[in-house]
Amino acid sequence: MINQVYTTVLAIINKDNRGYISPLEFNLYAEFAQMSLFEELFHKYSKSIVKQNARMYHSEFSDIPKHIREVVDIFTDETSLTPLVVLDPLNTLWRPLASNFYRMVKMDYRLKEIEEVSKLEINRVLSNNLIQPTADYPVYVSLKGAYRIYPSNLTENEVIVTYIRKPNQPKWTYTSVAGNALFNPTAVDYKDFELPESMFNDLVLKILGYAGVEIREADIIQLAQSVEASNTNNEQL
Amino acid sequence: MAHQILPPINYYQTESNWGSYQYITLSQLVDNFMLNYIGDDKLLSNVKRYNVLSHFKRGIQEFNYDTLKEIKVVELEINTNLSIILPHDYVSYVRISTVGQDGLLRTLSQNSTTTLGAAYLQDHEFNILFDEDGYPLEAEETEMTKRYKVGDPYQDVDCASEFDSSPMYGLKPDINANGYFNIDKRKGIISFSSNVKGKVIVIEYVSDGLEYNNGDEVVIHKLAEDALYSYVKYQLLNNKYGVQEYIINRAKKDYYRDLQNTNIRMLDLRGDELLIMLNGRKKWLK
Repeated sequence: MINQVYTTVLAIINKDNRGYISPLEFNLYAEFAQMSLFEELFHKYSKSIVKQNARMYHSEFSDIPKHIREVVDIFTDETSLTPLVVLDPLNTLWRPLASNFYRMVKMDYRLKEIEEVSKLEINRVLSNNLIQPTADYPVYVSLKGAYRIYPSNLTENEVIVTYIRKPNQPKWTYTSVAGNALFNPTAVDYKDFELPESMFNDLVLKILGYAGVEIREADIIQLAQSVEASNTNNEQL
Repeated sequence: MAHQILPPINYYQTESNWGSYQYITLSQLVDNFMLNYIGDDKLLSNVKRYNVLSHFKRGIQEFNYDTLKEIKVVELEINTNLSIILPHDYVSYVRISTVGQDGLLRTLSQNSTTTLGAAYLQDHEFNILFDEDGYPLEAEETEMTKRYKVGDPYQDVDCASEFDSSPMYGLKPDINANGYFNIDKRKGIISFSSNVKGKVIVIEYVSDGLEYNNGDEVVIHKLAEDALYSYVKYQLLNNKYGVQEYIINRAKKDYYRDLQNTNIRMLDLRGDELLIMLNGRKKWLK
């Protein structure tokens, strides 16, 4: 998909000889665009749930929350924990064993969810006879980007973290032929967009927006913004 | 092990499984509730599991006091001090009895004419003595308790034997030839009258159902399952900000209806038993 996006962007920008963006610049914009659209997915999902509860979205093809969930699910993964700081065995801080960790979805221990408790409430939970954490009802607090799990005697290798990973950086790779960049998908560092085909238009518009700023072409920026605004309006209907 | 669908052979061969199908475990209750009552498209959303757990446990406690009728029975031998320690999971008693030679229970009465309290130590001028922290010093045993233990109710003018043949028979309905007991809730002991000495005591009592605290050991009867869900739903909605009053009222009505149904179901009323009891009313008392 990355080649299609690049050629489309170039085609729009090159119209009337407005300008050109190099592969290096495109790769930079592609990364920004993908991350930006990826982050927007979470907000869109939240809004779509509200609309679905208001009966504005329905089942099957108009099940928008499901469609968004399917996109986010591309980036969900599972990992285990590794100790970050061992102050003492009772106060170990754990972090997910994944370099591309982006957001926590849930943490499980032997099919029981480890529930997040706020730092304000943790002491009340620990000292309450009715809800004291046990292996059946474990809890955790976030600290220093890591987690402290209660009760502390859980076998950590049985804790499974379900998380959303960061999308891989897209890269349009090429070989130079007579001074021209020729697309080369067989390069080792080639990386396509991870967002699905259904987000092709969004990617093109995002990148056009960035490119328009770079080539100081107000028309391009305006075009990207107006199409994006029109898309947003359609979604809000 | 409670409420697991087991192959019959496993059920019959393991004693701990016997009768387990009547019950549902706390963890199953919590999981069912989280699954069926909480979600983006449900009345309750963004509810913490520990809140749900807390309400379930409070519900189990409340239901155990009067709805579930899970009466626990413990047999204890009385010590030389004529007292026994309350069971570790005791909340309130249903009946306290001695075991007769025939193995049947002889119900004891609570003695309302004496009480178990504290006795402050006093000097020769009757001034109360205090400890270094300023609190009154207490005697190990009150004079009332000492005399109560030593006294023989059969020698007392209030005793049953005195009344049985006299014209005053029936004037004091609380008289009990089987004996008496008193409960000191704070100290956690039951004291008995001297005529109970050497006998085996049976305490029937209710607990709060949380004596095993967590997991699969805490169970409730399936007949009360729906009422417990309604209780938790009502408590959560009632304490949540921004929930419309009509939704809270609906949940409240649901809860009271389900509780009433559970109370009726737990009465254990059966048609044939009722018939036998009602037949008895035709008998003439001579």
